[in-house]
Amino acid sequence: MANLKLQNLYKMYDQGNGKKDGVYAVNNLNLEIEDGTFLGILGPSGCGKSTTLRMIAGLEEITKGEIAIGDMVINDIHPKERKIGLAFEDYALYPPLSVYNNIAFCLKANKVDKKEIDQRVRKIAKTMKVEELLDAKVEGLSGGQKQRVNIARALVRNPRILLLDEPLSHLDGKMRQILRGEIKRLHKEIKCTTILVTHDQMEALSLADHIAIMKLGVLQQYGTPDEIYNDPVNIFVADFIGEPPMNLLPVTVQKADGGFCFLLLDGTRIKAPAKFHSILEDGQQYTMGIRPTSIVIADEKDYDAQFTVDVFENLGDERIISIRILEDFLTIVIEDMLVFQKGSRIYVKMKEDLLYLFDRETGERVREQGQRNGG
Amino acid sequence: MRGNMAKTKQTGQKLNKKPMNLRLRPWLIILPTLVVTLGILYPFYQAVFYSLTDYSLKKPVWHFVGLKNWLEMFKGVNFWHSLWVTVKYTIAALVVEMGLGLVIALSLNRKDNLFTRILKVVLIFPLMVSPVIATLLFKLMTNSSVGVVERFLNLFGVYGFPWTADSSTALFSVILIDTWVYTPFVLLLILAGLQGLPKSPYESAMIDGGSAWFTFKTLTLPLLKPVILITLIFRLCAAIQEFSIIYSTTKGGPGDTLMNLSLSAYRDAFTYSSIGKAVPQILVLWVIINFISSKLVKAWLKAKSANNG
Amino acid sequence: MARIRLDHVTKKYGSITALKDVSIDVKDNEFYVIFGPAGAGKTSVLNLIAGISDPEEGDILFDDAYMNYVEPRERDVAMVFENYALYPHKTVYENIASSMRTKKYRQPEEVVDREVKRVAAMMNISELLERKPTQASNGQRQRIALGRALVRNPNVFLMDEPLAHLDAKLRNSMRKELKSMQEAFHTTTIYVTHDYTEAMSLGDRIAVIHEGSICQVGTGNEVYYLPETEFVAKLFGDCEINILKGCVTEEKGRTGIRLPYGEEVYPVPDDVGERLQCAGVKDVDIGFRGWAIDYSREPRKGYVRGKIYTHEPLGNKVELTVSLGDDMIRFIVHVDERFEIDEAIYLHFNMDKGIFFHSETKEYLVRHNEEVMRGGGKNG
Repeated sequence: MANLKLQNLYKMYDQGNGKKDGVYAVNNLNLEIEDGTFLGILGPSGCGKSTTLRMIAGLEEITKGEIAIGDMVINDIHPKERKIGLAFEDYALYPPLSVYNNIAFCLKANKVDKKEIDQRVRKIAKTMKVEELLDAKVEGLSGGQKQRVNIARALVRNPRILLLDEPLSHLDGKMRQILRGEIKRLHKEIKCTTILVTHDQMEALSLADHIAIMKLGVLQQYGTPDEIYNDPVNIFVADFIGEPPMNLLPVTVQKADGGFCFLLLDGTRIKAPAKFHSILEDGQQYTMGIRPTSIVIADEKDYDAQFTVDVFENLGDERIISIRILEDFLTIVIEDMLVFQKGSRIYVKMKEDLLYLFDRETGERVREQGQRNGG
Repeated sequence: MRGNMAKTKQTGQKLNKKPMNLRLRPWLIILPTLVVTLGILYPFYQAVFYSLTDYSLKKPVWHFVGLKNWLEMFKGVNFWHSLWVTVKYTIAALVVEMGLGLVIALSLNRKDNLFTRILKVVLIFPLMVSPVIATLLFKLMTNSSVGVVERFLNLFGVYGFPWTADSSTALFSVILIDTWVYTPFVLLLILAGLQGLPKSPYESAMIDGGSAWFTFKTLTLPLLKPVILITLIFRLCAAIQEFSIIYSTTKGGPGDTLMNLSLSAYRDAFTYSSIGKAVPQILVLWVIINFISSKLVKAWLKAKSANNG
Repeated sequence: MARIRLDHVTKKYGSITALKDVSIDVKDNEFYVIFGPAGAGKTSVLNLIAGISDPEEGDILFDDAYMNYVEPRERDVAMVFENYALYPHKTVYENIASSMRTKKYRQPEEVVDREVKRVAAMMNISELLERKPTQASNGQRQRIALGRALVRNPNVFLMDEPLAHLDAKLRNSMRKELKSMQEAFHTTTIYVTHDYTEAMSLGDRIAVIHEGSICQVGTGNEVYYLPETEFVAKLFGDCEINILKGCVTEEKGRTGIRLPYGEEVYPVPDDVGERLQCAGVKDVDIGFRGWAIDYSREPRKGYVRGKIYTHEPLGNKVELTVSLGDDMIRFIVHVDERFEIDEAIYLHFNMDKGIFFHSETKEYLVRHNEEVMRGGGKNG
């Protein structure tokens, strides 16, 4: 068993006439994935995540850099020799074949003994809960069933690394929840190194041991879900992770009664947490970030800011207060059974450790004590 | 209810059914199409009618004779001979063209480079040539005095190959021409079909380690079934009725060797001027084509839906 | 603005009955949401109101005028579809004015000018009048499109899943924008959606429709806290409501519930107990939403033991699926704790937060504090 290592990995696409088009789809990616762990590569479309997955699988040529399993560099090894299993985004099932034959394809192609084929196919069908479907044709299956067959087919190869390409994106709400839980249990059961590629941050947060967020080919942050969620290194990561998304508002620093406050675009003042005092100066401009769940309702005796409610929504499980700041909304999520009227005044406190500052131009996270991000 | 902007016309009273003008509207819209369709079908009805008469272009008077033409046709020898020629021609053309087209399409699809792209263009050329011109070219090339092909065969010691002049080689010759003219059609359709195949199952097959033959047998062939069927439908309907190639080479000869149903009907209608005898043969063709193609279309639809995995 | 009514309407498409004896009563100026899963018949209702199709049985009424078989353009309805279709080459002013310049509804220029400015002020887009739509933000574009539809002062404003194909983030912000503008509409609005958050947020009242019939009509609070059937209860809420089977017990005058996971009897609040005794039921179904369930990592009195089937950390909350007896209980906890698959966990179900249903008819029986829940809570 060995680790998967991506070293200085680059990918530039061919324009078709032999010339490269000058844009790196993957730009100097460095990742090391421990054996048996679950990695989520997360990012919007075009960020290079699928390209990275395909390079690991061997379906895309590597422009520069190395991919290695343990000590063995696999750059030039044919996909079928790499011992990987890939579950395709569009399922890529073999349309004319039954479920059984879809799963068995790999074994039949490699001339495995018939008895062994049957044994292995049935075993994996049981794990993926598709036993009753073995004789069915793939065309009639639902999305969730096709996905299970897709993964079963990837697993029957006994791969060293399991690659999942957007496994849940084409499924509807309920099936998505169910399959998410199953993938989690599957990983615990088979303990195979798994790499999941997705644009859905919920998938990555709930399934992965580590997450690598990418944007336009460049790795933004690598860490545990906790780290990514609570300690984002830049605005892109902060905005991308978390549902509902983080409130990100441009602010100007202003001196105010013995400390500082942040001035929002519409003039509202928010008391600045003490931890930032050492780096703040009057007139500085930042982008302030705070999650909707990190703002609590207070009263007029002790508050960090006061707002006028523009929209109050009671969505049952949670209630959302939205405050209009010019063209944006500041969102507050509360769980208590309170009701607010449009136009009423509220007093709030912000959870100090969960208030973030980002540089206005670079988007980099600004930390207390003037420390810049260590990376 | 406010109304200062909109001048709504309803009276507020309840209407018990759709007003007449609204109900007629759908019919008025399709009226032109209906008229055109009926117009197109008119010659067909006329043909069926004339098959029950002794209408002749030469005689001024015609009489209604009922099923006489039909019964004579089925009892006679000519009809069955023509039918047999039609069948021979169709099967030969289909087997050669489908097989050749499939093989060439598969080879061309494997790689995409300058050579294959040039080949693809060149191989489509015959489609741009009308069958009659192709026949003329054939006659020129196989001419026993000046033909290129004749000269070529001379190198192997073959002199004066009879081509369409001899009844034993006539079918072979016209099939050759038909193949040259129509294989590109088959090639084009199958190539298009190959290029429309989903790419990701093939990537999966690559990871699964399937060899080229294994992948072809288990994956490609079943996936191509709809395209192959639809090409078959087109070629079948055309080959059964083939006229221009045979007419321009031998007009049905030598003797009656190449007299398929189309040519036989043509002869009856225009050489012997008896429309009543020509039409039944055409109608029989129509029934055959209808029957076979509807079966094939059903198979095609079934194959298409089976591939929507 | 008008009162819109559907009276015992049946709509068939060939042999398929899309709507069965459906009656709807939308008050003047109300924002009425028609909510249901795909294929339930929502769009059919909209089409009947707009006049795009006609009912097989029943009547359509605007105020007291019958609209059966009246042409759509005679009904004066405004319909808004997904991508709003603003004219990119015209200014915002031109876009809004366009509906008053059609042959049918032509108005003199001073009227056009006055109305456009009125609507622009209403929608908060007055500064944008001379710009092109491409220069506006998403929220502004939505308001321009709404303005264009509303400037004609239609009888009713129909919206068919306008947010359906937006990505989650955009959907959320557009929903808030819509709600923010709601009061400015002054028009009866009928909004169709399959997203329960849109329904609860935007609707004054929600009509829940399933397989061509209306299951319940009520405010957001009513459908969420006081659902008339188990089916309605399952449609609302991020995690589907957990329905457990319970036995009603009576001991020393106190009513209690026994769950199938043990011998313990849980007392119910008086108002619940009274109603259960009145109904004379022995078995009930009880619905518990996530916030009605407490958990503990250690054994505790009153808590039943289950096993964690799967846990999904989602940042500041965790979605837990616990296998308890034959059931799977799914709920969200807002904590920062870590869990393990197959770990033991102890659950407690709060009877005063549960919803009681008849075990056979699946209909609503009772819940604790009905009136408070109808109101939605205390004022903040």
